[in-house]
Amino acid sequence: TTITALRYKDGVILAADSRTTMGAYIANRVTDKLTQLTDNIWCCRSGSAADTQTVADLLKYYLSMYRIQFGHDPSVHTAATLASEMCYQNKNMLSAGLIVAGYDEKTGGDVYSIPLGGSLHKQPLAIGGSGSAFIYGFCDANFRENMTQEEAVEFLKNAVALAMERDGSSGGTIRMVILNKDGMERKFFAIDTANPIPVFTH
Amino acid sequence: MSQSQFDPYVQNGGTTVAIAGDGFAILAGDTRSVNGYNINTRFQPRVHEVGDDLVIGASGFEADALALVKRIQQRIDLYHDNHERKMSAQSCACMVRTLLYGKRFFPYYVYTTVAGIDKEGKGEIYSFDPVGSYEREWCRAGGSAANFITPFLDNQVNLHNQYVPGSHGKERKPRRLLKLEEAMKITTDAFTSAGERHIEVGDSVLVKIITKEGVETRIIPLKKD
Repeated sequence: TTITALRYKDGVILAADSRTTMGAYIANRVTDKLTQLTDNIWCCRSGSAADTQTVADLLKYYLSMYRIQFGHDPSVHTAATLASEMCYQNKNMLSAGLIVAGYDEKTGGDVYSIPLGGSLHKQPLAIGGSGSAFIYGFCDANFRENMTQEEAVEFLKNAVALAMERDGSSGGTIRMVILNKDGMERKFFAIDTANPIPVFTH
Repeated sequence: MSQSQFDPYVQNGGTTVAIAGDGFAILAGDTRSVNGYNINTRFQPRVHEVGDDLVIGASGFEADALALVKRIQQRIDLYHDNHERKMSAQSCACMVRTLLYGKRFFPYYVYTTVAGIDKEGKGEIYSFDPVGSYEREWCRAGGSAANFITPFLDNQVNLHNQYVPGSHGKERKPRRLLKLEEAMKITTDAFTSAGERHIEVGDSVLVKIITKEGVETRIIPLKKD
């Protein structure tokens, strides 16, 4: 898996590859690893599919209860704290690496990384999954804060594409979610389509 | 207390497909070489011309595969010196068997295929297990994605489970020999499909086509993810 999320000028963008494997077998080549938690908060999932789906479902439930009880949407911080709490308290049983990201009118959008142990890290750019090991250099060299939407989409597309070319457990297509004041937009990239995946290897 | 054990084998992936027809044999292998989830190289040929219009396909443990091909090459050179004639595919297969069985208790971790042309001009394919059991066949998939490709080959080459249209599953489609371009199409489809579902298959396919005119090489590009 390769998952990424960043804060840009107008909000946040999440991106992921679409490969799910069982050993060397590709169980699903068009997986959607981006999961909606609330209207304006999404998460990227990596690790065990069953574990992360369960955690995401529970998060979704608790966040909807929050909204009912308090009469307003939970902040990205609240969602991420709740996610990290679940991952930390159950760290012995879970194999779940999450990135929680969402748009917030007060903060302009936040990105939180929750790696394996359940720690919580607020970051302008978060990368995760096995494929991320291959793109730390690329991200260090090319990431800038306050990018335009076009720049940010291009940056994440290239980052995920590079990881997909080198990591055996990343591949297939690229899925994205853009979150800003106008709401949400989904993007999809695949080879031999109008929205192709960039190729770096000759 | 645990002791680390000597582990001499590595699985480098790699898949081969061989199809024989009337007047040709093709032996194709993907060129990706892996170590776990890492790609060692995107172009490691695993089908090898060894002269005398013979082609060897070898996948599994790359180091053993290359060592085996080198020994086959040496034995063919020796054969020329001793007998002053071309080695037939049948003789080559018989010889490869002895090389493999000779290491019965420390095997070459390799799935081997020998391809050539017989005296009547028909394609000749011999496939081997790692310790030298071998058999002449019309088609064979070997290596890490063999499980994925074999049923496809059963259906498209040997026409298993295919019936004459309108016969309501009563009349089997008659067996026939493939034409070269048909076999090429099936080979290409086999590799592109395996590449979609197996992480060790990708980058490109190196195809060796053996006819009585000699050996022709083609390269088919695959997805790089």
